Amino acid sequence: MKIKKTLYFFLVSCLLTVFLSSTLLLMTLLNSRYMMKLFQKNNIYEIIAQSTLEEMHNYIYQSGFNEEVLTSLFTKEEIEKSFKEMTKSIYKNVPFVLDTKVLERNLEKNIKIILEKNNIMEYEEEALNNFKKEIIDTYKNNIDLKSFLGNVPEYIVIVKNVIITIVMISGIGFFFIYLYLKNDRKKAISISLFFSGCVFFSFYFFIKASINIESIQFFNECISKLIVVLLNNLLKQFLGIAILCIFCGLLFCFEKKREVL
Amino acid sequence: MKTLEAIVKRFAIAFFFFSLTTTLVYLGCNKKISLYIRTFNNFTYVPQEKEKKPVAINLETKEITHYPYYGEKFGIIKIPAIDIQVNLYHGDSLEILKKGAGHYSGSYFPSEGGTILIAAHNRSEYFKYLPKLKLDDEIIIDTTYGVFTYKIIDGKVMKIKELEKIRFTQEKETLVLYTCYPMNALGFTNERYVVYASLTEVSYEN
Amino acid sequence: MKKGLFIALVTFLVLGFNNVYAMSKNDLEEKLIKSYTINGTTFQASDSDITKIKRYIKQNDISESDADYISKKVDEAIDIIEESGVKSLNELTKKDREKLVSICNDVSEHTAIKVTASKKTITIYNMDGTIFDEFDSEVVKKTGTTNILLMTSVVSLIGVAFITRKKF
Repeated sequence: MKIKKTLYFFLVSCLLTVFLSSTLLLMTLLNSRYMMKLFQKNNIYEIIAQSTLEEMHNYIYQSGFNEEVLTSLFTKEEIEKSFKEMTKSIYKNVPFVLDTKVLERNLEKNIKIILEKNNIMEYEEEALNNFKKEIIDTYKNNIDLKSFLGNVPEYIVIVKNVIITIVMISGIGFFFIYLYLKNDRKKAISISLFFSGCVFFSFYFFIKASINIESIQFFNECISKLIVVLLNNLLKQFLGIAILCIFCGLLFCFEKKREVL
Repeated sequence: MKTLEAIVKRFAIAFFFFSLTTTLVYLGCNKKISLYIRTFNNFTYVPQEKEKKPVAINLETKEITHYPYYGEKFGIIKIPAIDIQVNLYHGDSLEILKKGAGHYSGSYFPSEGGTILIAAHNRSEYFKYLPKLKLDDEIIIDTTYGVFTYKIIDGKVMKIKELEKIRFTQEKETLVLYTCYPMNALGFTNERYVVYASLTEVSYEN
Repeated sequence: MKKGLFIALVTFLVLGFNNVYAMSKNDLEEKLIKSYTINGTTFQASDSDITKIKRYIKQNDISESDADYISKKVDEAIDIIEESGVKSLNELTKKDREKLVSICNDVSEHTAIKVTASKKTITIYNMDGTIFDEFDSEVVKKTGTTNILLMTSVVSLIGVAFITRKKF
C-alpha cells in the first residue's frame, strides 16, 4: 500500500515537472512574441546593425573605396522590421525572403556618387559586382538566420505541437492522480513541488557548470549574442520557477490548526 | 514543529525521487548528453592567455623555438626603393590586413629556408607601389629575432587561382609579396601583383 | 631472491614494452605528413598544412600519450575510409561520416589540444591559450574536397570535429 502510494507520489511529481517545463518552453523559446520582446529588451537590433557595418568595413580596404560607400546603407529600423518578419516566418515555417533591394539601391547610389566625385570613367564591372555581392552577402549572413537554420523551422512547428500535447496529457494525468489521492493531496503537491524545484535547480546549475555561455561564438557576433541572451534568459526562467516551486511546496506543508473545543 | 517535520519528510521523499530520476537519466542518456555538451563546448572557448612568450630563435641551429601567435606583430617590412615601412603580422585575416601586412600561416617564417608568403592591401602606405620595384631592389624584413634582406628576382601579374598553386617548400628561402591588382581598381579583382625575392643577407639580433 | 628478480624483470619488460610503443612527437609528425594510398587514391596533406602541422608539433608540448592516442585515431579513421571503399569524402555514407566525427570528438576530449569552430571560422589554439591559426570554413571546404586524409590527419591532430562536420 505504501509502495503504491509512493509510486503515485513519484508519478505525480514527474507529471508536474513535465507540465511546468513544457509550459515554460511553450511560453518562452517556442513563442515568437516573447522572443521578439527579448531581442528588443537586449538591444539586439542595434548590435546587429553595428556588427554588420563593422564587418562591411573589412571589405573596404580591399576594394579601393573609402568609408563613404557605406553611408546610410541601412537603418536599425529596417533591420528590426526584417528580423521580426524572419522570426515570425521561422516559428510559422512560412517562406521568407530577405529584402535587400533598399540596400542594393543605396549601395549603387553611393558607388555612383564616388565615381562621379573622383571622375572615374573606367572600371571593371566584374570587380564592382564582386564587391557589391560581398556587401550584400554580409548583410544577409547577419540578418537572414532562417537560411542558416536549415530544417529547424519545420521541427519547431512539430516540437510545438508535441509539447502542447505533452502539456495537456501531463496536466490531465496530474489532475486525475490528484483526485485519486484523497487524503494525501497536500502531501502529493508539496512533494511534487519540491521535486520540480530540485530538478529545475539542478538543470540550472548543471548547464551553468558545463557550458561557458558567455563565451559562445557561433558564426558571427550577432548570432552569438542572440544565443547568449536566449540561453541566459531561459536559465533565469528555470531558476525562477525552481524558487517558486520550493516556496509553494513549503506553503503546502503548513497544516490548518484544528480548533479545540 | 509538526510543520517542520512535514517539510523535512516531504523534502526527503522529493529528494529521493530526484536522485532516482537523475540516476535513471544518467544510466540511459549519459552518452548523448555528454555528446551534446561537448558539441556546444566546441563553440565556447576563452583562451586563457598565460604570460605570452616572445618570439625566440636558437642562435646555434638558427631554428625558431617560439613562433608568434596568430595576429601578433613580429616585424616590419621595409622597402627603401618605394620608401615604405609596413608592420608585419602573423596571419592574413581581413582584420589583420587592416593593420598592415599579413604573413600567411601556411608558409614559412624568415630564417626557415622556405617560401614566405606575405599579403597587404594596395593602399599607398602598404603595397600600392610594388609594381614600381625593379630587379635587385631590396626588401628588408626586420623581425623581433633577426633582420633579413632579400633582393627582387621577379615581379608579375597573376590570377588568384595561379597564386593558390604556389608551393611552400624548404628548398630555398624565397619571399613572395602580393597585393590586389590593378592598383587603382575599384571592387574585387581576380588579379594580384606578385613580387618574388631571394634571401641575400641575415643578421640575428641578440 | 628469485621472486624479486622475476618481478624486476617483468617490470623492466613492461616498462620497456610501453616505451617502445609510446609515440614521440617526431613519429606523430611523420605519420601526419606522409602520403597514404586509400582505395587506389593517394592522399597527402598540402604543403601549407604540412608547414602548419610541423609548426604546431614543434611549438606545443604534445605528450607521448596524446601523440599515441592521436596516432591510433588516425589509423581508425583510415580504416573507416578503407572499409567504405570511397575515393572522395563526399561519397561517404552518413553512418561513416558520423564515425569520423566521433573520432574527432574523441581526440578533442582526450587530448589537451583545443579547437573552436563557428560556422564561419575555425580557430586552433596553442597550449598556452594563444591562437595558433584561424581560417575561414569556406577555405577548408574549397581546398579539402579531394584530400580526405589531409582533413583526417589535421582533424586528428587538432581535434577538430567541425571541419569534417562542416563538409557534411
